[in-house]
Amino acid sequence: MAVTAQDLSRTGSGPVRSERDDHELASIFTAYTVSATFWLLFATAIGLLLAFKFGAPDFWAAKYLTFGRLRPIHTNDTFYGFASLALVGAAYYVAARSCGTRLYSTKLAWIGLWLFNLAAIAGTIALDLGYNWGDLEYREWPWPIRVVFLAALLVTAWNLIATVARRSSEDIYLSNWYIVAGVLWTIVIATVGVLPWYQYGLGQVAISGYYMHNAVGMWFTPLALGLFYYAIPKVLNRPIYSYALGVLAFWTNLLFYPLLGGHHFLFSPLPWWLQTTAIVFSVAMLVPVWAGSANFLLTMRGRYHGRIESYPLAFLFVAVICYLVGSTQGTVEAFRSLQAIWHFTSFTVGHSHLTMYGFVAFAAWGAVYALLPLATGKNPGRLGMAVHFWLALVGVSIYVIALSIGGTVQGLDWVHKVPFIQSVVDMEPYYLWRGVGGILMFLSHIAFAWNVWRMTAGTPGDAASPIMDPSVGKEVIEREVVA
Amino acid sequence: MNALLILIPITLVLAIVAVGVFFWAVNHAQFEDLDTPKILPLLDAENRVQRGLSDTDSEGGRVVPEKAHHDP
Repeated sequence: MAVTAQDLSRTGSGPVRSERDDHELASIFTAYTVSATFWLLFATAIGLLLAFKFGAPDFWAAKYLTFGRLRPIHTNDTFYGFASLALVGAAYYVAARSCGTRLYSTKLAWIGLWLFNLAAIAGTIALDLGYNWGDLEYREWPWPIRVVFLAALLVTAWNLIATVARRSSEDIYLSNWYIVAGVLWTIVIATVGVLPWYQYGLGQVAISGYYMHNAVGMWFTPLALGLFYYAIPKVLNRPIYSYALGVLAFWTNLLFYPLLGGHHFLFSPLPWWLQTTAIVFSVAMLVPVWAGSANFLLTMRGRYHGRIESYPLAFLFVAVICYLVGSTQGTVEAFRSLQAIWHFTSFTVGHSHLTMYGFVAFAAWGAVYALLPLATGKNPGRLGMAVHFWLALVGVSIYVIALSIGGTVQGLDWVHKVPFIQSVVDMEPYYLWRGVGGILMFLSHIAFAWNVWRMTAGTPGDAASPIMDPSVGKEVIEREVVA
Repeated sequence: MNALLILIPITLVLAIVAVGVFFWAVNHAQFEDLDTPKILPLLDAENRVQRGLSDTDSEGGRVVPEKAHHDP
């Protein structure tokens, strides 16, 4: 069954959803966003301190503030505190709205929020006290804490799937495919990551590659793309350019992504054929990445002037561009010839910030600016969004460009076998620029916190509705339904 | 490398599940119509900002022609 007029007329009104449901959904979205904002400020303050420790390693060198303890705190809290909470909060809103129904259970959403926060708080304390699985990237938290995170995922998956099951139209909108797939995949990944077998030797390397790349690519990427497919059409008041292209991107993403984790371990003792498999699938990822990016950009076609008028759209636009550039860069990095230079260098850190910050964080912010005002009825200030946008954009640009150039210099130094200290000296200016970019990024997060305050508890600001040109939407709906 | 003994079966099982879900989706007509679903995000078109601030129009003000029909 396709969408019929009957389905449409049921969507978003009638007995499936009441004012009280709207209010509860807004509270959930708000609570997740506020929690995420706290973790963003905390984790990036740590990140900023770490950036300067490269130039001044003796600064604040007490054992609780050493690089080895703070670095995993920065990564885990940006991943599982900030990004996860921001994306899940918006995903609840998108799932309920695009299904034309209410959330299956408000209570489960609250339980999930507490579990996510409990895991992040306990994880932070454990890491700072020195309890960790130190060599396992992005799963440094001791395993009982990661079980709490897994429980949060299970609760979230249950709630999201049950919400989609309540949908008022036959078709499951693309956003929900991405969101539900992301949650389910991550449950699998988190389970594999926590099981005690094969957590030693080469087996551990294989599992680590499987876990760490899929934790990024099967959790943050699908959730962020799910938000794109809802927020971009919503803001532009124009449907996605091609639904079919989105379906293609979804299924190819699902097919290709899970097998490329091994590309983090090129030239390692992992079997050569396994490394080659990972490279092949890294190249295959160009299909969903380019299909998805083209789809988003074509949806924005002819409305590019709107980016300047609308900050929600500007955030989403930057996120799409960083998704395109960062993911394509990821494919290129997986080639052996280039990996030989970039492996272990700061280039990788630049890449991870281009993707996790330029893509995922900007997508989360774009979704919050586009959708939170629709949920709470409160807009942020235009100036506040402008300050956030420009500081974050300039900051991350400086950061990524500095580390990309510096990382390449570093890698070439190593390839040419100059004394190691020379590569450290060569990195000095790039480490400084990294800190400068980091300061701007951190300042932008304070502006974001201010904007979140105004969209939730504070006095609303002067920004226009995130939905551009509201009259257009109605015409589109009429045209599409009659056609 | 024994980890592959666990990772490859897990991946295969997941691949089978994914294919299963794909066929479920095909059989439940998720791909019959690849045009119309794209307006789903726009249907929830009641503008909460305007509504929330003015609080006058609690109906949502969404207009869908009653007799409009979509032919699959």
